Amino acid sequence: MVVSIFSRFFRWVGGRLPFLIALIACIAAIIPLHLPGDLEMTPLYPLMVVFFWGTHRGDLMTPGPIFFTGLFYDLLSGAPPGLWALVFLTCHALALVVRDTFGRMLYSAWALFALTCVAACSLAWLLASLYAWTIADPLPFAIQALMTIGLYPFFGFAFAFVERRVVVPMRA
Amino acid sequence: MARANFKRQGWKTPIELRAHRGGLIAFGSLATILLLVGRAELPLIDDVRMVAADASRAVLQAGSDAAGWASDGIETVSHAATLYGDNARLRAENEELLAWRAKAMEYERRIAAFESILEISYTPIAGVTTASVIADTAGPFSRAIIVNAGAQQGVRKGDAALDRFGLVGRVIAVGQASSRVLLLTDTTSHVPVLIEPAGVRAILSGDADGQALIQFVPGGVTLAEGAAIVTSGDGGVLPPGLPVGVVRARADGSAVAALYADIARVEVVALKRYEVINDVDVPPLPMPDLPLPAALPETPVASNPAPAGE
Repeated sequence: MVVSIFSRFFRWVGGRLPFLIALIACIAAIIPLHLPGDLEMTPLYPLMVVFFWGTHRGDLMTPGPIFFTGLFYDLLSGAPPGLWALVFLTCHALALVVRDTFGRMLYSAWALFALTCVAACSLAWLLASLYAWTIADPLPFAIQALMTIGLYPFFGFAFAFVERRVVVPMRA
Repeated sequence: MARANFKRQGWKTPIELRAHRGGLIAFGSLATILLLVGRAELPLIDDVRMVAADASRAVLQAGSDAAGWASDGIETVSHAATLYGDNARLRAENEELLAWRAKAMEYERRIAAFESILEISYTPIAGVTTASVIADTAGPFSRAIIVNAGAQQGVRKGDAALDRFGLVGRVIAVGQASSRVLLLTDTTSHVPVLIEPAGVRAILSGDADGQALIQFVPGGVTLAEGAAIVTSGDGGVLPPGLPVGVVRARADGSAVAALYADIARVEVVALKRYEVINDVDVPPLPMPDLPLPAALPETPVASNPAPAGE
């Protein structure tokens, strides 16, 4: 009886783990690094999490958690509320459509992520421009996209490790 | 055909696929509505932001501590290489500074004497809170920092935030144990300043490049490169006389402020509040150079007298 409750609880926690990682990614994105030089941008860590779990484990990263990840990132980063939520949801849908249309043809997770990330930063730039009703400087968005794409393989491997070694055993 | 589709897409049942689509549409619409409503810049949004910041405080503190140790470690290693040269340079600098100290002490005595003759009173400081920076939201949307002190530590909205060298920004939202400081380089930051020695009034605004632009300089006035910039205290948000930076000309003819504060790497800030002028919700005094109706009393807002020393 006790064991059953425990295993159910573990299962529940395992299912919420991707969302928890997404929330931590939002916080990690605004930790000051005090790096030398004038580079102020941080990679879009939350997009990496949303993309990985959204395409690999769609059952654990559903539109609800994606929306709240985006909203949390908006609130923390000072972006207009709803902006990154909309961007993440749109790009999650885009990634799924591209994956299911091209299937194995474009089956390199990195290529798919690069496409998603460019779409995300372009959409964020467009929304930011519309929101402020001026043409926003595209350079920060371009730098952010490149940084995020460049770092994705490392995080992709880490997330895959967490999925295989933590989430799957917890939900077994 | 449709049945094969949902299986190929990794869904167990067509209901799951439909639920996913419905969720996407519902939450996408919700995000769009939020975005449209958010344009109204409701004060509630700032409050919710601070709740989120308060909730993330523990993780942010741990993360920024770790980042601080890492950068300290890198600094230690890189300093070790230049130890000998640094030592010689610091010795020379120290000698020079000792001479300056004697001079400064002499000036201090003189200024005290003048002040006692002129009976000058400065804007009194109501309190200082020292806080460390736990988040840096220098993204494309806002240039702000989150510090680990809030209402519990006595921080109030409108407090001036300074680092060791000069003004960094001002507090725009206060949570329980954290607050958000809008940096001078944010595009929505507009600070009334005074450019010495002539006392030219201008507005310091952040621009898209992350610099602080000097705007609304009266016509016919040319600013000297290197002239000191201090806050003017106009508008009653910040007190007069806080050190800001020096004037630097840009290639396109505009003038920016080379800030004293190391805004990109600020780690610790002093949040200072001042009596009388701290209430940001007080309506600003009418502009003195506008033609005022004759019936207007001399001090229109009794609760917000001009700070002494202006």
